[in-house]
Amino acid sequence: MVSGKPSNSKSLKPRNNFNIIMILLCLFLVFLGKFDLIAIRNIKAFLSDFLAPIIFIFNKPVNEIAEVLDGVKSVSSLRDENIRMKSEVRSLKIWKSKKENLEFELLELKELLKVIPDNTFDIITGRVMTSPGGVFSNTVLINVGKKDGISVGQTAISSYGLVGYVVNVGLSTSRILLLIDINSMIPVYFTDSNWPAVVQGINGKFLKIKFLSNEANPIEGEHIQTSGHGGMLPSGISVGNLIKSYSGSYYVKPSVNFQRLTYVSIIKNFNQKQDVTKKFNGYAPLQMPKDSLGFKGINSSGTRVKESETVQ
Amino acid sequence: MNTSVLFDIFSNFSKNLFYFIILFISLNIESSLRFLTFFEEASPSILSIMMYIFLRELSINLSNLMLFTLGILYDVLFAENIGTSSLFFLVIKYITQHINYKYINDNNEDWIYFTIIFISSFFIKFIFIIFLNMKIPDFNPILFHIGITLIIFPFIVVGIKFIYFVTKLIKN
Repeated sequence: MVSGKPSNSKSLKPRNNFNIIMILLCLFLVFLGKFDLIAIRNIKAFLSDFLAPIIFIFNKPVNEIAEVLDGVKSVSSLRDENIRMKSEVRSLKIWKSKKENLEFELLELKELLKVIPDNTFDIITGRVMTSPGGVFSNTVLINVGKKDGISVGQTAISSYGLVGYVVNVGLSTSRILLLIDINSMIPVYFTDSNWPAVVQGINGKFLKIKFLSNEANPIEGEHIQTSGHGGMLPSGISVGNLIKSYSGSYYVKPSVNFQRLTYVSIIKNFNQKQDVTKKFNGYAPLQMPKDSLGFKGINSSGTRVKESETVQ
Repeated sequence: MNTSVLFDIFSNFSKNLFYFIILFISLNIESSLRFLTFFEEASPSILSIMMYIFLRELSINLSNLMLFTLGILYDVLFAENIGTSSLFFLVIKYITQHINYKYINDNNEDWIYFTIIFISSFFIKFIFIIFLNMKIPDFNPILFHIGITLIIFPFIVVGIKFIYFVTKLIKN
């Protein structure tokens, strides 16, 4: 190259002194950004909207190449995959017949008790336009925005489980903070050992468990779901499975593969409160819903109860 | 206004626009690389490599305003704290222009200098982000990012040298 390359004897001296104003402006912007001002949010949303088609054009070929490579990889293990699938289909058929019986039974019991039906979620699905971000942040941009009824804080899910929640909304795009991001904290519930906790992203592949009681005895491999504590996210959405590290500490392996996200659904109406008391005409011992938040696994006096005990 | 002055302004603007487009394409390539399974942990910092090549190898003085804008776009694209990438790019420029190139005299000098410049600039950004988030992120993606950037650097340099050689050959 490189005819323009300077010799080693001369160091590259800039024509002007380094622009200190630019550095100060950057520092000012960093702290301004940390205050989470609406103006900054709007600028970010506008830029995301503006850049979205360009990003999509650049991402498309690489995404296609990645899909082709994955396809080639799966072809090599086609035989083993086929055998595994056949055995899975057999077991799923058994499960299906069991499920149909239980579902029918559940419907009958619900009808008998006049159980208040859960809110049906209004869902909108968008295509993921970017990869899951850089080294210090894990977010994706999707092609649905304000005009489709998206707002900040709404839950993002995929067919595998929880993806994250909306943090910034433009007119036609929205940014989703993924579960694995360092700024994401989700209240969860251990489905087998029955303990509530909070999972936090560490910008890695796994999630860190926080605020887990000292008395808790988590079971390796058990399923983790959202608990709905705090009222921000719906309960019962799959988050991942518990894994134990070599050091003995527990982490959560997310159910969703964030590298292979293609479509993401947004739950739009979760925070819209419905007055369920008006519809309520159930039998005793079904209780009237209280205003206070009911924490799963904890009774009204604050002591922990196992779900099996509550049922009995 | 004098015509030559106007011409100079227009020439500088078009040059900077051209560099901006190249760097913006690099930014998009960097972002899209994460779709590949190999770069699942983190993608290499192609933008830093391109900036180093522009500043050091091609002796192009990239304007501060351009780097600032590019940093803002980078932050929007990767949803990082706004301003941190601008700071990172300006620090890369500063170190590249002020480092003393006298000390290392061998064939790998570029690689060594790039390693010093990239790691020191990245360290500043890293400290800044820890300070802003008050949390220490997982080190695996960070180390992978640094490692893969340093590994990929000579390949990009060789690629650009090859393109330069071919264009020179065609010209002759």
